[in-house]
This record gives sequence, structure tokens and C-alpha cells, in this order.
Amino acid sequence: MRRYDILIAGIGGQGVITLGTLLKLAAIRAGVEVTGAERRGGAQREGRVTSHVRYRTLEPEEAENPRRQAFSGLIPRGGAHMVIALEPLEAARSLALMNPDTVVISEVAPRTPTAVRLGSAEYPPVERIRDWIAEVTPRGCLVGLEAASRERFGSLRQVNVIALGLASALGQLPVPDEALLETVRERLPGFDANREAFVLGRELAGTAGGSIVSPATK
Amino acid sequence: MNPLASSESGRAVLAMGNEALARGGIEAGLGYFSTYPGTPASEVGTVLQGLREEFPGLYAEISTNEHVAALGALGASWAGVRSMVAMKHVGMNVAAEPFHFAGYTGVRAGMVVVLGSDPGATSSTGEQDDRWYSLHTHLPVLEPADIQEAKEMTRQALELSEAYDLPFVVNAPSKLCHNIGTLRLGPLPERVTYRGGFERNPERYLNLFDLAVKNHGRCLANVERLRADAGRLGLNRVIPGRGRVGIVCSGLLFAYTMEALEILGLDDVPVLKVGMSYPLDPRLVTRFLEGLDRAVFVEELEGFLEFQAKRWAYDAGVRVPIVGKELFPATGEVDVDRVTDALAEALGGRLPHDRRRGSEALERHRAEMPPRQGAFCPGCPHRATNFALRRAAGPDTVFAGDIGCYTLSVLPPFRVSDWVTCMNCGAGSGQAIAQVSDDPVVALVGDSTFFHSGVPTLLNAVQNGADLVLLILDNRWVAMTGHQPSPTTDRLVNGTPRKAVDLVGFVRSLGVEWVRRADAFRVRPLEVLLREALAGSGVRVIVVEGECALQSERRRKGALALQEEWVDLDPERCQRCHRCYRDLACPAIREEEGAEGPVYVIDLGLCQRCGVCEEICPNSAITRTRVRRGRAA
Ligand SMILES: Cc1ncc(C[n+]2csc(CCOP(=O)(O)OP(=O)(O)O)c2C)c(N)n1
Ligand code: SF4
Ligand code: SF4
Repeated sequence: MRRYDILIAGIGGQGVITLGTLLKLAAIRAGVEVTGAERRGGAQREGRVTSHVRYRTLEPEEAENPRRQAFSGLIPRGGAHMVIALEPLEAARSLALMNPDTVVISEVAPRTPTAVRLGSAEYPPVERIRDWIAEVTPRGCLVGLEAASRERFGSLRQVNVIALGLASALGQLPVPDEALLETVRERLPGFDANREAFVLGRELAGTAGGSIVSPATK
Repeated sequence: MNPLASSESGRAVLAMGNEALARGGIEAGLGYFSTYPGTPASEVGTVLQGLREEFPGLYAEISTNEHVAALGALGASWAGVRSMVAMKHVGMNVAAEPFHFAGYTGVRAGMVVVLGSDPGATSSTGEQDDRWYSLHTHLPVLEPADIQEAKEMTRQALELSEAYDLPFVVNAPSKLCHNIGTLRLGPLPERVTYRGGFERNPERYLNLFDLAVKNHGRCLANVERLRADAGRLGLNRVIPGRGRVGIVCSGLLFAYTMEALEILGLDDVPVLKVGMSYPLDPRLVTRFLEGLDRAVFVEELEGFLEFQAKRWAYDAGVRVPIVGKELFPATGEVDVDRVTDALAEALGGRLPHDRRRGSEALERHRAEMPPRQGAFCPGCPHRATNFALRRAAGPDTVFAGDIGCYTLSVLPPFRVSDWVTCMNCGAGSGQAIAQVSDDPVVALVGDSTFFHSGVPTLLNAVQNGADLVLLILDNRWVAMTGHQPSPTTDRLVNGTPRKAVDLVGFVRSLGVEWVRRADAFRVRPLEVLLREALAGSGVRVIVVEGECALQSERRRKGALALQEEWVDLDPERCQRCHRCYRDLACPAIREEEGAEGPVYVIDLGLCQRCGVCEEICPNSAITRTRVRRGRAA
């Protein structure tokens, strides 16, 4: 069995669910089996949201094996091939799913939790978060996705597609870029900007190079 | 077209567990659907309501509460139309009474009860395991292990329901309801009965005296018939292995078990996958146990399978040592990692070290990660109400909160809810506290919760002369569960008008003499009104109006915003009194590093222009400007 497991993490309102849906719809388009549980965290904002994206391909001899039929939606501990975090603290909170080969792509700009706002907790410096990830995997990068989107497109609307570009460049996604882009075209408005965002993500991956970088864009 | 309506059998589509449950109904010729929304099962209703476009004969309603929804599904079945009712696990408590009679009367057309359960209580106030209800309601329970089975079992449940004359339950935990993945569609039925007719059947439907006793007997006989047939229904399955220690499990935990065994490299362990956990098939279970040196029950919560299996094993004289609750705690969710750890302990086998590196790092640093709690959306009417209430209420006020988005008022900075249990818990217990003490009690209730179960309580308070302030937080929607329309929804997101209840008039008709209407976003007048209410006596009701910000934002997007507005915070005037940032805590107000230290800024991408921060700023540092354009005059 070949698996490829991606965890997407962030906070309510950032588009975690949309990003997961894009990655899954691309699998349907490409004929790859996919599943994965979502944690939505209510209708409101600010809470942690995750989407598990699990791809798998059964070998022919496994097709009838009753031990390989059920397909659970949860990535087991240490099982993620990739973690995409739209907020650095949420990347840190996802450490348990990482292993030494995990590719980690995280936004570098923090979103302040209420406890920090009210002065009852402190937000760790992003350099520390970077080091925690490096204790597990050398293949992490913290990137200014929001800054890049704002700079090039004037809004945060392209953040998710930039992340997709990075994911396609740094990981071994079992779905081809064409399937991803076709899905983006079908599901999101403004395809020209999105195609450009995807390419921008791939370029940022070049500078991130699979190693940890401090804020890629200020 | 919605792919879930597709007639292309064999087609792979992307579906949520809840959508698979709905499609299972469609493939079985569902004609009637009712629900009261509740996470994790809410989307079953969203999907089926949407599918009325493709299947115009299908009836699908959001009911007032689960009790009404359950009786509705039973009525449709008596009229010969296949029915489904969906709710979250605690909805079963509200619908418990009708469900205790459904086995007595039986069904005419098939009926299925979809229950979304929530082990770990990630989006609920409790984690009860509804399967235990079936020991006295006698409704059979099916437990799908993944999305595909969710569809197959729902379809099968409707068919079996008819064959065995009992409504069937399909139990789906949140991790399955909210699992999204590949679903292979089956064929659609050639004919569906959307219109039926009631057939009188007094022997069954009139449960009076000895007839009730007789029907109780028939219900039990139906269960035994099903139990005897279980072996040939194909719902339970043994996965053979040569190991002497075997595993019994059901539902999602089967999927976790198989993955855990794969991770641990244990490919020889025999596994009994229970698909129908009530009634349990005693022959299958005892035969499986007999061949083992030891059996491990992989189960969460109180251990429903273990409880039943031990009984059957005792009767059959099978004395295999059984471990279950020794390995798995009776509280909290059991996920694939817990299963892996427990099986490693019970069967031997080790998790490769690389797989533990991440969790070890998390343990080392977890203490440094501040928690992240949910917050009201920017522009939420509940935030404004909470702010006003916090200021108006004295230190001795008892806050009788309730369930809905406004449950967030339990959290800082507001803390205006002193307990949360079931729906209607606020006014329900608050009125009694007022009867036996001098504590001023302020109860909060959402519009949907009010009509779900709050009405009898308000009437009770009036009739018994309680001293109670009740705030009905009318945000026009059932927001918490994904914005279903509520009895006070007067306009859909696309602008379509809808017949709404006149809430003030309704409250008055119950005999409440002091009723006021207030605008949630005008927090100063609201604060004044709250002070007036708190100074009074008897039942005092304020209907606080303000539409859910997410819904009004959605509508605005559809209706081409004609006006542009800005909200601006002037750092020169700002004295950093924190009133907007900490006391109101709107997420659209952020702290940033300015040239001379930290400053507050308003993120216009998030800001909903509700104007509350402008109204509360004591330094006039926040201003709202409005530009009209695009329209002459
Ligand atoms: C018995 C039961 N059914 C359903 C739910 C799920 N649920 C929680 S609150 C709520 C209603 C929320 O609507 P409303 O009271 O109008 O408050 P809002 O979320 O709109 O602020 C529902 C359906 C529940 N907790 N218990
Ligand atoms: S979804 Fe609506 S009611 Fe709920 S917190 Fe957001 S704005 Fe408020
Ligand atoms: S107007 Fe003020 S309180 Fe309202 S959403 Fe905007 S920033 Fe938040």
C-alpha cells in the first residue's frame, strides 16, 4: 500500500477546510482514493481547525485483503508526510504527527490567541517554534505566505493557493499539478491570479529549499 | 448538479460521512426526512434539504426539536413513506419518549434514525453513548466503519427496518460524520413512494393497557427474530488470523484497529468486526471467543460490546479472559494512537521510534503553547450583548447561560454564563434559583433554543411568578450548527422573505408584562435597558435583535454592496485603555508594533463595520465613515 498523508492546520476562518477540499477533489479527479477527518471547531472564529488528507493506493494483491479495506480518516502519530500550517503555533501543535521525513510548510505570521490578548499567556517567538520543528524534521520551512499574497495580489485571498504551490514543489503529492490546478479553476474565483499564486508558491519553495528559513518575505 | 444526486452507479465522488448517510437514504427510496440540527450530524439535513431540487418529491424539514422530528418520521412511516430522522447524540434524550414507543407500534415503511455521536465531546456538552438506549428502546443499532459503509448501512437499515418491523439506528461518531473522502455511489431506486396514506391499525397504534403489554412482547419478539437471523445478514464479519489473542470491535474503531495492527506489524490477529451492535449475535460472539486464549475489546466510553458479550459468554459457558475497559478509559475519545498503544501493550509490538519523535517533542514544549479558544466572530451581536451585560450586571448576578454560539460567553473576557449542560438549562434552573434565593438572575437564550425547549420554561416562570430577567438573543439563525433557518428568520441569505414568528408578540401572549425590544449593536442603550430590567421584579424579557454577522456578510456579498464604510482607529487619540481590545475583544482589532511602541489597528479585512467599538471608545479614537456611491439620490 502506498500512502501519502497531509495534515492541514490553522484557525477558524483561514480556509483550512477549503484547502483540504481542494486536495481531496484533485484526488477524485486523478482517480486516487482519498479520505480524511475534519475538525471544524464550531461556526465561530479563532479556534483550532484541522483537516486530514489521506491518499492511498492499494497494490493489486491487497485489493481483496480484508485487513486493508477500512480507510480511517485520522493520520496516526508520526504518520504525516506533510504538514501545512496556516499559523505557526498551529504548526507547533501538530508536532505529534511529524516524523524525520515530514515536510512542514508553515505561515510565519502569528495570530494572537485570546489568552495572549488578555495578557494571561505569552506567544512563543517564532524562532522557537522553528527550533521545535527542527528537533523532529529537517524539512520544515516557515514562510510569509500572507505577506507574499498581500504584496503580489493586494489581499490575503491567494494564501491557500500559494501554499498549494509550495506543497506541490516540496512534497511528493500523488496528484499531479494539472489535477490541482483544474480543481482550483473549478472551485475558486479568479483563476488567473490563482495560477500565478501557484507558480509563486513553487518559486518560494525554491528559496525555502526544504530547509528552515526565517521569514521569507518581511 | 449535486454529485450526490447522480444516477451513475459506481461513480466515485467526494463525500462527507454525513452526505454518505444521506445518500444511503436516497438509494433506499427515502421520502420523508426530519431533523433538529446538532453537531456532528447537522449536514445530513443540509444535504437532504438541498437534494429536494433533484428529487422534488422528497420531503425534508428542520423540525422545532428532536421530539417533534422523531414523531414526524414515525408518522411518515405509518403513512407508508420511508423515513429518516437525524440528530446529535443528546437529541436522543429529547426524543427518548417517542423512541420508547416506536418499537411497540413498529413501522409500516422503513425508518432509520441517524445519530451523530461525539466521544470526547469536542462539540457537545456531553459524550453519552446512545447505544445503551437500545437495551430498553430495543431499536437495532448499526455501526459503519467508514464513509462507504455509512452509505451501505443506511440503505440496508431502511430495508431491514421494514423486514423486522422496527426503526433502525445508524450510529456515526463525529470523526465519521466529518470524514470526507471517496464514496462509490450505488444505483438509485426505480420507484420511490413519496406520497402514501395512513392505514388504521388499532392493535399496534393504540397502546392502551393490555395492548401496550402485548406490543411490548411483539417488539421483543422482533428483536429476537433479528438476533436469530444476524448470521446471514452479513453485518458482522470475522477477519481470520492464527493468533491466540483476538480483538472484538465495531464502527470507526475497527478502522483504527486495522491500521494499528498494520503499524505494529501484527498481521495474524483474528478480529471480529461487529456491524450490528444491538442485538448482538450471541452465536458468532461466543464461537469467536471460544477459540481464543484471550480477547481484547477495543471500545470507547463505557464498553457496550464488552457488557453484552460477557453476558452471552456466561450463558454459553465460555470462560475466555476478556480485557476491555482495563485498556481503554471509559471517558474521552479513543483514536488510532490510543488503539495502537493499547494493542502494543496487550499483544506486544512496538511503535518505531521515528514515529514517536514528534509526540515526544510536543510533550517537551506543550506547556509553552498558549491555548486557543474560540471567539465570537467580528461583528457578532452576542459580543455586543455580553459587553453590555458585563457592564450592567452587579457582582452578585447569577448568569444563567445556555447552548448556542452565545455559550462562548462562559469564556473570558465576558464570563456571563455560570453553567452549561443541556438546551434550556439556563432559564430552566435559573428561575428556580430565583425562587429560592434573593440572587438576581439573568438568563440568556438563543432564538432557536427558546423555541426548542425554552417556551414551556418561560410560561412556567410567568405562571409561578419567578423573578427572572430573560434575554432572548435573536440573531435570526441557528448559528452554532451551521446557520439553519430558525423560527425568527425573516429573510434567507439570497433575500427570499420568510414567515417569521413575532417574538415580542409571542412573549407577551404568554403573559409577560415587561417585554422590550433592543438592538444588540447599540450597546449603550442596551446597557441602560439592562439596568432598568435588573432593578425591576417579576419576569422581564428583552428581545435583543442583531443578525448573525456571518449571515449578514454572506447576504451583503450576494447583494452588491452599494455603500462602502470604513472603521478607523486613530493612534494619536487612542489612550490604550484596552476597552476595545480586551473588554470587547473583537478579533478585528489587533495589536501591532508602531514606530513608538505597540498600537491598536483595525483589520478592515475582518471588520464587519458593526460600530460597537466606535460606540464604546471613551476617547473617540474610533470613527466610522460611510460613503454612498453607485446610486443617484
Ligand atoms: C438536544 C440538543 N439538540 C441540538 C443541540 C445542538 N445545538 C446546540 S445549540 C443549538 C441552537 C443554537 O441556536 P440558537 O439558540 O438560536 O443560538 P445561536 O447559535 O444562533 O447563537 C443547537 C441546535 C444540542 N446541544 N442539544
Ligand atoms: S456564527 Fe454568527 S452568532 Fe455565531 S459567533 Fe459568529 S457572528 Fe456570532
Ligand atoms: S466595527 Fe469594531 S467591533 Fe465591529 S467588527 Fe469592526 S472592529 Fe470589530
